[in-house]
Amino acid sequence: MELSRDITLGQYVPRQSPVHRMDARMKITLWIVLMVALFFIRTFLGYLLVALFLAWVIRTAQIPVGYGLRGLKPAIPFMVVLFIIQLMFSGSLFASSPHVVFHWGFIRVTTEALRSYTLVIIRVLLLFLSVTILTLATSLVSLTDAVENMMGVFRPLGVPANELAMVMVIALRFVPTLVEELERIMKAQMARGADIETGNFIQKTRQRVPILIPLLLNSFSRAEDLIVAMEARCYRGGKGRTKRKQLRLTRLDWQAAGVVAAFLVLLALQGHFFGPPW
Amino acid sequence: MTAAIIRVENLEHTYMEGTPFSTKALHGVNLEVMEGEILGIVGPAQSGKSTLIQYFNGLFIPKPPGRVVVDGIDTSAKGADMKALRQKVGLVFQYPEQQLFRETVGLDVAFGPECLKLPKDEIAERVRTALRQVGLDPDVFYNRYVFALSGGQKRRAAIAGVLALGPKVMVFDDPTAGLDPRGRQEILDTIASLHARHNLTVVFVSNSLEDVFRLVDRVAVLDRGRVAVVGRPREVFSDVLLLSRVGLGLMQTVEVLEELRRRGWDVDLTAISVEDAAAQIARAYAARSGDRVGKGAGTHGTL
Repeated sequence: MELSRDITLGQYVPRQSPVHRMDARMKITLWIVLMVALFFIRTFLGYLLVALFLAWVIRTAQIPVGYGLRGLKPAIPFMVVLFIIQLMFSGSLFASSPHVVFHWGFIRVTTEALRSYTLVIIRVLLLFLSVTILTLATSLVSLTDAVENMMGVFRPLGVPANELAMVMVIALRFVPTLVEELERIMKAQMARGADIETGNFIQKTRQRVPILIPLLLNSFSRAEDLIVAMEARCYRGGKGRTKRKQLRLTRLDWQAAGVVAAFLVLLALQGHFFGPPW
Repeated sequence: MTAAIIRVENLEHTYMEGTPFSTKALHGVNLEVMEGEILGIVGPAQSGKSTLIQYFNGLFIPKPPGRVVVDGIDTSAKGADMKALRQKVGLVFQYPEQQLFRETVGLDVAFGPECLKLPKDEIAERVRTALRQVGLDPDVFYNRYVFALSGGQKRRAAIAGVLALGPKVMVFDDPTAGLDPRGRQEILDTIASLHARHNLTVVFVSNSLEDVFRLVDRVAVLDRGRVAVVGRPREVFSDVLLLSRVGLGLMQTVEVLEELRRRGWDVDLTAISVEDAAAQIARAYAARSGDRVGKGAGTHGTL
């Protein structure tokens, strides 16, 4: 068993691509713009165009996206179940529609519902794909630097930008560490005869206890070590702290922004935005 | 010491396979663990020791053509009985005290036997036996809180937790890491007695050549995912060239003997126990000073 293979969250694949070289602030901004745009697209063709656009970004960034999408695997059952439940219990939303595909008791599936929820699934997949591109092509350090910098706008309102960024970096940084630890503890308990795969729901929950308790205990002691290490280095938040690496927007960033803007204008002109959700 | 209880053939292992981070940890390992022996496995960090031993109890399943056969069970066979396998081979990971999760020692050691769904009185019996085997008096420690134990005691309690499964083979991954000299000695004594008094086959993975030398019958040296050599510790650990090529240090005694030999002393490198090395050095010293006395006398005589 090897858990870490399927965890792609926060993994960075170093390459020398334009996407990697972009200022992380611009990458985040463009990503947010694309995400928002995704929510307004109402046609299959529109989504197809976005998918093609993302595929082009992936090629430019030279990232192994199959690896990134591996992280989606555990979510697939949930998505399937959600899709089915939505189809089954949203009949009233589309009550006026005459195009009934399937009708049994209170369950009433219409073509409009099918179309609408398929779009939702596609949207979720594209969202995941875009965030995967962002994290695979941006190192954790530049990502948090960018977040800190962007949150700095709210500092006059009393938002502790540096501290929040530090919280984020620690949380993300420890995902792989905790996964590794989880795997080690699972193996250790399996070596003691623990059976963590079979059984019904209640049994399975009980089987988590020997894994969760050590994991929790170790996390606490890890947190304490981290506190000591930070204090030993005189960490006192962002006040008066300077940066070795300065963020700077270059021509590349504005070119990328231009490309995204052009793409969205094209989508708008083709009429893929707004309109009814079905 | 007749038949192989664990047989490893052509074993390969790749971590993070199919990702940009994939690294090969084992390149065609062949190794046998004989019934009733203590086998040492040494190698520098990243040589594949910890990866290899996870194949011994089916935590990793070999990919063909690799094969691991444990006491007649082919671990890659379809429907291989993993439960039976893990009962046969007890695996003690690095820092095993981190896997303790129940309040008291007795309860924690009972976890394994409970998973086997044994009757209550047999569980209690097994727990007491296992505690005795690691040198923790069950009358004292059964109801003691895990948090009240010292580092070495915690580690022995964790080892008892594996022993309570009643394995034929015990595999220890660097069991003395991070312990003080006394805790270290207690663990080594525990392992020696498991082998001598309870007839367990032991696989002992360690970075300390001294510990390995004191405990084992045979030692395998791993070098970047390959078995570099298998042999008696006396021969293997005196092979200075091999050890330096692999990136392992020398035993302190060998280091001293090697240095003396470099300076022209007539010493035997295979005398690697502290006593033998001391005897060697004493003999060589006597011979040299004898020479000098002889020469001196000779010079004196000519005057």
